[in-house]
Amino acid sequence: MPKKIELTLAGTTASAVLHENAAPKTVQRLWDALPIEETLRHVRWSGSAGYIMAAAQRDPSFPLENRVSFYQPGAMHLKPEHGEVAISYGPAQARESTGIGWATHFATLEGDASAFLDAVARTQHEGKKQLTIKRKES
Amino acid sequence: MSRRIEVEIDGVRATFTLLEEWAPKATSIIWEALPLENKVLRHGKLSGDACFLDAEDPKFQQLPSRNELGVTSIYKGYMVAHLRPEQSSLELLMSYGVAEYRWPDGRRYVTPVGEIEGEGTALYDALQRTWSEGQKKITLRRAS
Amino acid sequence: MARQIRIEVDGVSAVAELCEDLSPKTAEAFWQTLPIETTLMPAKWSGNACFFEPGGEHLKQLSTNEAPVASIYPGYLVTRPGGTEALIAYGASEYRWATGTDYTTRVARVKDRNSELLKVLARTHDEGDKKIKISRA
Repeated sequence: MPKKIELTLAGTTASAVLHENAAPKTVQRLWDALPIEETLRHVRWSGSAGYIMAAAQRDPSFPLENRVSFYQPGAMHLKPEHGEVAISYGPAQARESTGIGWATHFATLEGDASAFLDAVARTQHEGKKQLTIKRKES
Repeated sequence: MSRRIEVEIDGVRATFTLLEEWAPKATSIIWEALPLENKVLRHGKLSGDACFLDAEDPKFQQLPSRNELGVTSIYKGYMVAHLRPEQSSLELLMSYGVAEYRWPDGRRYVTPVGEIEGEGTALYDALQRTWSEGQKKITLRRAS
Repeated sequence: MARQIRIEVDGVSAVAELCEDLSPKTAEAFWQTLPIETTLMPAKWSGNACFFEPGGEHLKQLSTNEAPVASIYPGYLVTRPGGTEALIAYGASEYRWATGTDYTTRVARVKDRNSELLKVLARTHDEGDKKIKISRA
């Protein structure tokens, strides 16, 4: 049974499956750090996504796993060099000021996450919101 | 009040304001290394309306390894720096028109470090002349 | 002396000079579009910048960039051919879309690099959309 997490944002909730097989070290490191409560802001370089800076996930020497550049809607990604966790709601890519980068795809939202993703999208126009991530008990 | 540097090419002088708000570390180290005297100024091959010079100094080892503000476009009247701390050197470019920092494999990023004061026509003419007349000598010094 | 415009966001204003020497047609078209009062939104591809829709008909007549740039230096206001959007940078910024980097035309620049206006623009990252007013100074 895969590990799952529950995310809460602006009165909405979503569940995500952790990709333990594809990104085992990343998943374990995140799991050990839960619960996480951080400020979610809209990205400025990467397109249709929101992000948090999770200090416990910041490790420039931590390897990328399940490496991707393009983010699919509903996917969660980590850039370990910054400790940046991004949640994409539309077309997005791991970009920085100097161009295109890479991230670890470590989780994907399941079920109907449209209300949650809409809340992520609204951060562009409404500003930052508080995000909580915790272990989902099966 | 930002520090200022004077540039002299072919008897033409111009003053640049150091962009200390944008690149505090890079501009500080460049300031410490001045004067840079009788350097060779050449017209760029790939970057458009811009000229460049190379300079070496042990102080440049302290330059940041990443651009504090990264740009590819070199605006007219601006001085930008390609930082090479691992070689204790840097490349400075100045644009007199439309310019973008490029290598054979594409656009690369540089740090804007100075902006010309005043109108600049005489300097732009001197820079442009390197295209037809070839390399010239350039001196950068602290402005009084 | 170049014509000047006044940019106001959240009660903070700054004077900007039109880039008439670099982009004479675009600067003129932007001048003719003033005054502008619209929503300022944080960019999601172009970095530390905000964008707005200038509106009007004059900018729509422009089909090409003048002295094109991809990097938007802090304090510079730029627009794309066709005038469908304009951006102002408050930090490191490059004109980008989902499909990659693109080029734009400089319209005006805030002369004071320490302008409080740039700090207000930076607040859109936390606070979201704001109202922007641009008028002839």
